This record gives sequence, structure tokens and C-alpha cells, in this order.
Amino acid sequence: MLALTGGAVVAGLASGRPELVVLATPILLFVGVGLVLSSEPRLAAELDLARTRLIEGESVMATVRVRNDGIAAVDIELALVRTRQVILEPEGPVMMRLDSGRSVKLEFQVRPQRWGAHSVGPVLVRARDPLGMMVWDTRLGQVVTLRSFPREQRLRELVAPLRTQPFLGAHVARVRGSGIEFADVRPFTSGDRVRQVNWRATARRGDLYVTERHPEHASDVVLLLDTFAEARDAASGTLDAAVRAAASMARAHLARRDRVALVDFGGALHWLEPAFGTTQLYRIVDALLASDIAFSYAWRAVESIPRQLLPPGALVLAITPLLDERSIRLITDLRTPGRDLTVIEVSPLLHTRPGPTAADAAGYQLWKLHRDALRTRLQALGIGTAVWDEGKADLEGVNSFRRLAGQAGRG
Amino acid sequence: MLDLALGVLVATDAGSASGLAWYGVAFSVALLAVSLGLGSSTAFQTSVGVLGLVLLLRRDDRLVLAPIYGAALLVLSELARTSHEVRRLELIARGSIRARLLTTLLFTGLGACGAGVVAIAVARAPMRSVAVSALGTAAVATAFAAIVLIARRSQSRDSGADPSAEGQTSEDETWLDST
Repeated sequence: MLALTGGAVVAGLASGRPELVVLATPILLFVGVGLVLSSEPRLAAELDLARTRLIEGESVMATVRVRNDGIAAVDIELALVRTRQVILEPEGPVMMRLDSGRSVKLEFQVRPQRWGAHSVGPVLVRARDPLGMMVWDTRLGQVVTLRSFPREQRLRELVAPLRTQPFLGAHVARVRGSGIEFADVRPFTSGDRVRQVNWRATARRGDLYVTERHPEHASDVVLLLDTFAEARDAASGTLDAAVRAAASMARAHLARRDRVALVDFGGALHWLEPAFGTTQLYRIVDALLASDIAFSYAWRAVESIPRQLLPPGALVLAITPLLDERSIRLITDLRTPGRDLTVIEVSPLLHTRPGPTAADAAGYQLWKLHRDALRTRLQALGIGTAVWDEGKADLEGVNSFRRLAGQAGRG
Repeated sequence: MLDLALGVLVATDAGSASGLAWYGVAFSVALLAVSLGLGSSTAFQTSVGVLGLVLLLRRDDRLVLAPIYGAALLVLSELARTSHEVRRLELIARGSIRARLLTTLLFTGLGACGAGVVAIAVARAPMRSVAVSALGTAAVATAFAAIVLIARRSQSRDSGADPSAEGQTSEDETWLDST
């Protein structure tokens, strides 16, 4: 507009038409007065989140307080910087006039679209003087990290470990010792305690008999999270479901006093050594929040997993979409005598659909058949497989299969 | 509406040039509509420029009308600018737009008064001469120089205030770059 005004004034002077100069005068005065009166705003902003930890699907209120410490009123537009997976309400910039010495409070609804560590802030502020002559862009406030924990499913059943560790737990061990679960009745031998005597059997047989019981032991559980590849649609992906499955299983096993380890194997290898308790649950969930698909050509052999992460007799639960040849190879390599391995398949079928042509449909069917064949191959190796469908995994079927496989192995 | 009203004010008194005036008004209105539709600031500035030139086609009372006409053009351009800025906002606090428009109208009125003073000075001035033209040129040049100086000083003050803001861009900030 200033250039236009300048042009009008020059044209008026050159052509001797004073009306052009008079026409331009209001705009010139407006710009001039606006510039003289404009002063740099002194704004301060604070960003505060009601909570910084929430469960996937929940939302949290973010409060932004902006204060004008300058000498003049300013028109401000402000918006929150945030990571892509965060939805804001209101999403776009918000405009308001802020008089000198006044402050204003704005509330944004923040909702992470998926689990993970998200950042919200700082506040982007664009300030204008009241006539809009000068514009100042700045960032105020701090970055707040918002941790959205994966939604956990209640599991009706867990994969029962074939072997247990000699720690107090909730799994009925195969060995006999002191416990609650009845195992057998046998004749009294020296060293048996009097409290073990089964008086009913003793009275019937006329000789001392004792009751044997199965002790309740804990087990070591290793959660292997496959992050080589994932199938993803607009809403979600197999990694999301895998993380939820891992979190749910970790919680359930830790509640049964098992030692749980986490190995995130994919383009990058991350792990947490086995440990008990609530602290370990927080560690695992925190580690899961950082899980992501890291593209890589690297092969991961069993040897690349630290030995202490796979203790003898541990139950290994491989949570995988069975999409990458490297993870399938690793799983089959893990199947060694004495290792208790089960595959929890996070099905990519929910996130894929055949293309429009008949050839696409045929290819899709072939791919499904190939997956069925792969599952059969794993079962032939004695590896139980269950499809994870948002908490409704057929773990009962896996346990039956594992019992049968165990009997066949012993036979 | 304001655009059209200003155009009608000129075209009805343009005499033999009324056809040209109507074309100019139609072009200006079309440009303004395009500007509002596409969000182009160039289009509305051109529209205001065309409407300003159309004033020259009026036969009588051009100098008398010029202050009001110029003030109306200023209001028009401010309204168009505000509408551009507002369209990408999601939420506007109550009273913000009204406060802004009132400020604009207040300063536009001040500008119209100033233009009226200039118009009176022109009407009462002696016949055109080299000295008077030189004086006018010097006054205009001084006014422009003052405006440019103030603008530069404000800009340098602004850039010195927050050097850390430079080079910090991300896709989340695209709303800042859209104007």
C-alpha cells in the first residue's frame, strides 16, 4: 500500500493533479502515525499441562497464559507447536487483543493420537501493533513432554511357562516341594515334616504317608518386540498393537511376580534386563514409548542379543507381525532345545487390503496362504503361535499346543 | 459494497468517460472478489489502486471528494487485510475485531482530516510555480523519508530483540508463513 501511495503522490506531483496527493494523504498519515506509535511488545507466556502422563486415547488440558508487559495494546495470534501425532482443539491460531499490563488465559485440549512421548510447546506468538504496521514473531514458554502410555488390555489368560525359577511366584511348578497345589501321596521317609503327614491316608493304610505339593514359583519372561517392519494404515499399525500387547503382557506377568525382560529388536537393538516389580513395569512402558520402526538392512542374529537377556528356562514371547524375513529367521534360530518360545502374531491383515484388480486379489490371497504356511512351519518346529487381536489372543489354544508339544518332545 | 459505492460515486459524474469509469469499477470489484476468494493481497492492492485512479475520471469536485475518497480506500484496504488475516484463524476472542476496526476508523478519520487540510491548502495556494512544486516535492520526500526511517528503525529493533527466532522453522509453524 505504501508503494501505491508513493506512486500516487509522485504521479500527482508530476501531472499537476493535487487530488492524487490528497487521495494518498490519509494512507500516508495512517502509516506514519502507526509507525510512530508502534513499540516493541513485551510479552511473556507460560504453558502448563494439567497432566504430563496419560493413557492412549485420553486428552489433557493445556493452559497458556500470556501477559503484556509493554506500554501499548497488541493484537496477538498464538498457536502451540506440537509433534505430528498430537491433536489440538482449537487447532489453528487464536487471535485476541491484549491491553497493556493485562494477561489472558487460553485453554487447548491436547490429545495424542497414539502412544509415545510427544512434545507440546513452545507457544508461537505473532504480535501486531493496534494499526497492524509492525509484526513481531516470537516463541514463548517451554517445551512440555507428554507421555501417552499404551492402552492395556485385560488378559484372561497368560502363556504358561514350561519351566519356572526357584523364586516365589504364582505359577505352579512341575517340581514337588512346599506349596498349596496337591501333587501326590507317598510313604513317609526320614526328614519329612510332621505337618506333611496325610492322616487320612495313614489311618487307612496303617502306615505313615505324607502329602506332596507343587510349589508356586516365578518364571523369567522375555518379551521380544519386532520393530523391523510394520503394516500401517491411516489410523493405526501393527507396531501400535504390538506395543499394547507387550505392555499388557508385561503388566500381567509382573503382577504374577515374574521377572520380565524386554528386547526391542529391529533396525536398532534396545533391551531391559529381567527384573521384578512395579519399577520394572514403568521401565518397560517407558522403553516401549521409544519404540519405533527403524529402517535398516542389518541382519540380527541370536548372538546379537546379550546372553543375560535370555536366561535358561525363560519363557520367550516374540511379539511380531511376521513381516520381515530377518525377524522370522531370528525366531526360528531362537528355537533351541530347552528354550520356551511362543510367537504372538500381531496380524497385519487388519491394516492391509487387496488392490482393485483381480490379480491384486489373487496376490493378496496367496500372501495370506503364505502366512498360514509360515505359521504351520513355526508350529512344526514346536513354536506355539497365537494371533493378537486387541487382547483377545487365543492363548488358551497356545497353552494346549505347548502342552502337547511338550509331551511329544518328552515322548 | 464500499468498493461499489465509491465506483458509483465517480461513474455517475464521469460524463463522456463514464463507460471507462464503469469498466474500472467492474474491474476493481472483480479484483476484490478474487482477492477475497483466493486470499491474494496483491489483488486487493491492485483493486484499491484501480479505484483510486477512477477518481480522476470524475468531472466535478474531485478535490473536495478526495479526502473522503482516500479515507474510504484506506478503510477498504484495511477491511480486506483484516479479512485475509482472519480467514486462517480458528478462534477469535470476543471484541478483538471490533477493537481493531474502531482503531482503524479513528486513525482513518484523523487521516481524512489531514487530507482535508492538504486539500484546503491546495485550493488556497498560489498558482502553480516551480517554487511551489519544489516545496511540495520536498514535503512529500521528507514525509516518505521519515516513514522509511521509522520503519527501518522498528525492523532493526525487532530483529535485535529475538535473534534466536531466526532459522527456527518447522512444519508446525506454517501458519506464521502463510501471510
